[in-house]
Formats: sequence, C-alpha cells, structure tokens
Amino acid sequence: MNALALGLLYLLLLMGVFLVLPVWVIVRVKLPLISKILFGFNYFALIAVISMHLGAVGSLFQANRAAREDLQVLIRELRNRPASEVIPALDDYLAAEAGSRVSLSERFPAPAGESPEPEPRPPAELPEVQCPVKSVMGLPGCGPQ
Amino acid sequence: MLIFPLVLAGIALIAGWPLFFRRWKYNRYLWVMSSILVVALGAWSMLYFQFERSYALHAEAEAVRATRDALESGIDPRELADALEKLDRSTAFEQAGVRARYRLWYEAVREAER
Repeated sequence: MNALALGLLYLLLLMGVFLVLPVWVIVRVKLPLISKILFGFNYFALIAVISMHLGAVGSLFQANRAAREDLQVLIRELRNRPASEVIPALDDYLAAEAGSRVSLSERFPAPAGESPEPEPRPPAELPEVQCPVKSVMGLPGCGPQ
Repeated sequence: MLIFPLVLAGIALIAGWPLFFRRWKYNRYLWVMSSILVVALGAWSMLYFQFERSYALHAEAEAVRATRDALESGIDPRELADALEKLDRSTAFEQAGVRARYRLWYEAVREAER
C-alpha cells in the first residue's frame, strides 16, 4: 500500500515537472501566439521522441541479452547432444518469422538443478610488477615485505 | 533528485533555444528551424531503430545459418562449442551491440570451420 502511494506520488511529481510546469511556462511567457504554439510543439514532440528512443534502446538491449542466452544454450546443447538433434532446432529457428520465433533457451530448457546464469569468470591474473622502491626514509616500499 | 531539473533544463534548451534571440526581428523563423530540428531528431530515432532491428535480424539469421551449415558439413560439435565458448568469454563479445554480437558469432563459426 505504501509502495503504491509512493509510486503514485512519484508519477504525479513526474507529470507535474515534465507536463504541467512546461505548459504553465509556455502560457505565461511573452511571445507571439505562433511562437508559443511552436515552443509547445517542440517541447512535447521532444518528450515523445526521447520516450520513443528510450523504448527502442531498451528493446535492442533485450535482443542483445537474448542473443547471449541463445549462444550459451547452443554451447550447452552442442556439448550434450549430437548434431542431428541440434540441426532441426536451428532449422525451426530459421524458418520461424522474427515475431513468432521460439528462442533456443525455450526449445532446449536448462536441465533441473543447473543455474541459467553463466559461471562467473575467474579474475584475470595480473602480471607481477617489479617495484624498484624498497623503502624510503624508513617507510615500507611497494615490493614484498 | 537533481537529475529531473537537469533533464528538464536540457529538454527546454533543445526545444526553446530561439528564446535567446527574442529581440531579433526574424525570430519566428528560428522557431520554425527549431521545430524542423525536433522533427528530424524523431525521424532519425525511428530510422535508427528500424535499420538496427532489420540489420540485427539479418545478422542473426546469418549466424544461425552458418552454425547449421557447419554442423551439416560434419564439424565436431564439441569443437564448435569450444570456439563459441571462447567467443562468449571474450571482452569484445561482452561489449558488443546486438548486431555486432551476431557478426562475431558468425565469424567464430567460420573460423572453427576452417
């Protein structure tokens, strides 16, 4: 309930700042009518363009994640199944329309007990740096102590 | 919370920059130019998304078809899995956009086939 009220308040604040305040400013500003109309059009068109672009970027981001998941599923299935079982799945994948495509992770669900997340990568080993400073004025240097 | 006023100021500046030239007698033409700028921005955004989506779908089909053809031609699936796993762990793949990701996938399959 609290979260809902906070969400509504947040939405109200956003609408106030981004929709109502600009209308008030545009109505109050001393400009010829045609300039006022164009200013209003510019502002609200820009809001629409930015929202649309954010949506498009979000959609591409989802597609990017799906690409990685599909690759990981393909790697797993190539290790566990013979090629004769993987080829028909790829054929189905290619034959389907882009909108109705069943992803490889749905076609080959992860076996029970296996985490869908990839294993964390081991940290890269850094090359050992030779430190010429042993100690300065009694303070320890950066080499092994 | 500072982000809202900053975003609002940015949008107002892009939409209302002719306000800085209010005393100029041809000011109304600047408003028309500003409108054209905003409409062009919207058109660019739409075209960008449509092209990016279309190219990504094409790259996806190419990568999957290359994988299928490689398996059909008799490549060892484990060898192909190793090549793709190496790609999955690479930084270039991690940082790539959707189209580049499929392109890298395609190239990895071609490389494993050789």
